Amino acid sequence: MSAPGSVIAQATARLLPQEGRRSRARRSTAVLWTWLRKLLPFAGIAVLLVLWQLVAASGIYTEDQLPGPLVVLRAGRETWASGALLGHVGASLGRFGASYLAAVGIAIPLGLLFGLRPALWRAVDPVVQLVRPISPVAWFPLAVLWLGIGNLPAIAIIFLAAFYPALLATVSAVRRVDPVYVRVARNFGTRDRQLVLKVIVPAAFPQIAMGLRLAIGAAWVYLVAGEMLGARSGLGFLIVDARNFLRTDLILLAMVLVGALGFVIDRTVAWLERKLDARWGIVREEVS
Amino acid sequence: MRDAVQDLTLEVGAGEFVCLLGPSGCGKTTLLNFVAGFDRPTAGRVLVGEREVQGPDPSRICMFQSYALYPWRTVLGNVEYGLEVQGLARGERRAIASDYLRLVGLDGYAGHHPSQLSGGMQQRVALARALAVDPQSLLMDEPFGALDSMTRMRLQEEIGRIAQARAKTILFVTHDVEEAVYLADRIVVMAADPGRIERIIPVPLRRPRCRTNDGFLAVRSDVLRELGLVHHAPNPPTLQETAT
Repeated sequence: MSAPGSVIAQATARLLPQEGRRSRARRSTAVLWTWLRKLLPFAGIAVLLVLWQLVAASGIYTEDQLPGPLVVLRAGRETWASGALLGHVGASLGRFGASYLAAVGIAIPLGLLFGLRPALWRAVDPVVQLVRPISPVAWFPLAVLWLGIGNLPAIAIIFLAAFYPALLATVSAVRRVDPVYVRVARNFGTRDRQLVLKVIVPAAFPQIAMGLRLAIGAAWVYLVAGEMLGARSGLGFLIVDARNFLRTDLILLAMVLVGALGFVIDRTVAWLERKLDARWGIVREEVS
Repeated sequence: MRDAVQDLTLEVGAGEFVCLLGPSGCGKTTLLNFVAGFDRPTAGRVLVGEREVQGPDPSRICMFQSYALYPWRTVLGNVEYGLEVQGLARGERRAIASDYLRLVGLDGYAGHHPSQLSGGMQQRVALARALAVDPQSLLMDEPFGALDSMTRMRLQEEIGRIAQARAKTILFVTHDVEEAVYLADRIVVMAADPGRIERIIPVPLRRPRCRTNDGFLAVRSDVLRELGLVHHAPNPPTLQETAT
């Protein structure tokens, strides 16, 4: 009939709507699975709480050494009722917000300048690389010596933690702006000032925004440490204060709150980032 | 150092459509960048009218293979860009930009972002952006190189039509022989090492051109021969002859 090696393709392919193709049973399994997938993150947290409760109840540690989640919850209700808890959370968030904004407010303009002036950056880059690996914690003694105890050292520590990621992200974002964007701008007669505002900043923005998200995470980690330097309020102070009175339930309460707030902050920023990306017309691969 | 182009002289008349055709490394993009004012020749000069080219200028707008649209701006915002830089009032530039979007057939996409458009549509936006500032000449660097061949042909028709209707001087870099024959008044065939002009082939065909008639094929063979791509061998046997 046909020569060897020849190919005959005869096919009918019917395009069916999704639902018609699946059996009802498979469809309901799929629906169930979608729901389960949504519940999985909560399941992970539930398992953590159960494990915590089990270890606490096992008698390995006394209740003073390791209070269970229910005990911590009770401590939370007490401090909440006295109004102290909200005060501490507010103090931490306020301190964090102020120093983060200050860091970003200085890092972005500086980053733009360094990104646009390669010669300047060649001089500054080694300095930044030399100072950056020094953990903010290493600055503690000097921070207290120079800034006293109280609000300022905490703010300085958070500032340091946020500053470098924001600065480096901005510099690299500016340097990575596609040169063809600049060509187009010059071709249409764009002058230097407009070039920065109309082309460089918007072109670099998505990458800067990513750096800001990294910076906010890094800075939050140092909030507690910073607040242990003689601050009279905040979650870090709560931990120090509770330690002095051996109130492990309050220590754990503060720790849980730091984790939860950090999580909420990160999700909020990620959400903002997506909103802005959409305005920028950027479709980013979702990494979840 | 080797010269990218050497002893090269080219004169392009006002309103003429000239294609620079040649293999990669023949300096066609280099030449285009000199005319655009992005780069300057080590020796020699580029004159537009009586004036020597000192740098890029809105009277000579470049178009790129990568479209080079601003992804953070909407389609309309991209077309408005040149007018915005010139300081036109918002309403005025919006009106002009909308007109040019209509010209390239994208008036329904004003609010979209470039990333939501196909490659062909993005290059149309870039064309509207270029035309919006009413340049004397368009400098196009393989503008359709990244497009599939049917989209490319459709855009060739469009650019040919627009170039004729608006009397723009066009310098068009390509390595697609058929594209050059379809579009150009004259084809500048270039060669590499060092970059130079081999021959200038006029295309005496009326517009709109037909890609399959004898006149077209004759010019095409002429160009292919110049590029050393025609081999004078007897026609191969047909498939039926091979099978028996």
